[in-house]
Amino acid sequence: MDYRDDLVDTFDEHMPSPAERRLMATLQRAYHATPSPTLDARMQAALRTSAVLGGRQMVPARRHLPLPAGRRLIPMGAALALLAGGSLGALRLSGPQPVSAQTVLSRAAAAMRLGPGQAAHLSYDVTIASTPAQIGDAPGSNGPVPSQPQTGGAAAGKGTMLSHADVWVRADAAGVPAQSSQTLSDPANPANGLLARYLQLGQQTYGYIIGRPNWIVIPGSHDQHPGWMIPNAALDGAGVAQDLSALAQRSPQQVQLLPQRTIGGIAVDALQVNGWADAPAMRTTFYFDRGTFLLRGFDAASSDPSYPTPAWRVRLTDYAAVASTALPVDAFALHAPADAQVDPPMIDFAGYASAFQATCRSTLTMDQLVRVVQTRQQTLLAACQATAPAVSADDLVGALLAPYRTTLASAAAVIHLTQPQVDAALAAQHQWLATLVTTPGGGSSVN
Amino acid sequence: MLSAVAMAPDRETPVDERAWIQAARDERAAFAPLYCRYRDRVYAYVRTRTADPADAEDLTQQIFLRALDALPRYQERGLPFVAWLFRIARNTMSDYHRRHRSTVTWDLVPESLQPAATQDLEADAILREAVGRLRTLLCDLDAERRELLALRFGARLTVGEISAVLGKREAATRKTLARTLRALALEMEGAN
Repeated sequence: MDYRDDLVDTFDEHMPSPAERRLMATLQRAYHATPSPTLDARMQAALRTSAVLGGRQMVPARRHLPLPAGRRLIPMGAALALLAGGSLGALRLSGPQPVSAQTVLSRAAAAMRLGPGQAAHLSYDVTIASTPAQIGDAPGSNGPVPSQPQTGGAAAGKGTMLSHADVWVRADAAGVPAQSSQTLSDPANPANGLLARYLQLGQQTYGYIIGRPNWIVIPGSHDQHPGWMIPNAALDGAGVAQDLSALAQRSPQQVQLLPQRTIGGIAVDALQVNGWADAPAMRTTFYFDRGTFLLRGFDAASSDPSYPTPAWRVRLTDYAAVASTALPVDAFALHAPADAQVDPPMIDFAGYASAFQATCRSTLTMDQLVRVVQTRQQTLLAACQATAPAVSADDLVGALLAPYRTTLASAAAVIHLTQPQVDAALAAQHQWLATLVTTPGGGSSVN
Repeated sequence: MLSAVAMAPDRETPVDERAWIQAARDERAAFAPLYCRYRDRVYAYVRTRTADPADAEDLTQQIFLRALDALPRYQERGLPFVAWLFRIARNTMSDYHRRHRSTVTWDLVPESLQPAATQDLEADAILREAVGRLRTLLCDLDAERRELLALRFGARLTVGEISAVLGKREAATRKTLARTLRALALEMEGAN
């Protein structure tokens, strides 16, 4: 629109006066502004990254971007741009100070978000220690030695374990991450160094932990997520950025932008987060690449000595966006060995109360049933037979076992438990429930 | 594919914008032409509400990335793309000011927005003086009128597009804008 058009468009009630014409000319010149070439370069890099990482068009095959630590390696953004086939001439990997934590998070979420059906492969170096000091510069205060797995883990010092996390994330048709897997292994023993493997499939978590014995955890397992392991969600950079963005909006004081710094030779924005996820005493510092906006890693430790957790240092070493068709066939398989045992379920008094009421035609509430067990004056079977004399111990145990039987059947279909594994898990739970039902006080396992 | 040529400014050339929008929906890298077309206008608008050029560039980039993310949901339905884009810009700026209420001032015509010096030193001096007077007058306007001027002269939107951005009737927008300019012109002349 030129100056004459401006006048016609702006005034319709009267012809503009000479003073108004002069004013408009002054306004047009005064409001004129041109960004620096830096903006183009940054936008160029962001679009390239977005095209490769978050685009609706899937890359045809896995694009492997080895990223060992070290300054001699090209930055991630440059690698992505090379893969996208563009010129690197104007690519700038560090911009001015970001305007806010929210800006950092918005960029990161946009850069790492998966497209519909897209997947990502991420590799991390993970250090788990009893105290931040044992890791180095991680924040927070002291805590006890974490309950580490009984085998594996490269010993970096007393109370410290080095490991490697191999992570796959797959988005559903709407672009929402729906599946993830984390394989934690001993970097000193790549061939036989598996420490743990965790799958997040929809809302359900399945795991396999090396130990004596080797445990399989399924939804409702007693030890569903050991405290020393990093949840899969914390290793999904896009999900982390989205969660933190929501947290920053809801509770800005919990998310603070720290001075910029360099990790592994890469300039990063640092965000300190207090009480992320379900760990109220956890203080975590996340590092987002200033060039590519990828999550480069985080340091986490307890900020409350009375609420100890392990200290973690996590560093990204490899990132690849892949088409779902390029996923390894076993990316979301558990691969638990045949000798692994299913972890017993948590005590579910609410579920037991429902089954008890139905089987025994009883009106006893969950609290009343718990009291029956705690007072040790009556067995649950006797309490049941007070209203349903024909119910036998096997009947009651069978009723209480039924939900677990269903859970096991579902888990068996998903993670391919063997029949002996299912039978052994059912037998162990049957025995435990039989004791609960027929022994005053429910047996020692309840108390 | 992006290239230095693709990032060159292209604001006024008539184009099939719908084809560009569809291309960007299909391939995110194809968003570059849309960015180039509106980059300066978005930046100029942001600069009217941000004193720091670096912040303005950050926000400009954020606005375009938001637009790119939202592009699959954009439906024309009487709302021109440029109006849709500036709705995003306006919302982004509102978010920004909510979070930076204590530190951000509304500096409508900062020194850096003044035009580059021309060879005509006398004309340049006159213009600088006019801009200085204008700044004083703009600061006395209410937020609604300042926003109108920012959208009109920073974003270079038509009155119709401004109405679409603000969700107001075109006639009402034109009347408010014309009255604002008339009042400003009178005050500018009166100051001489």
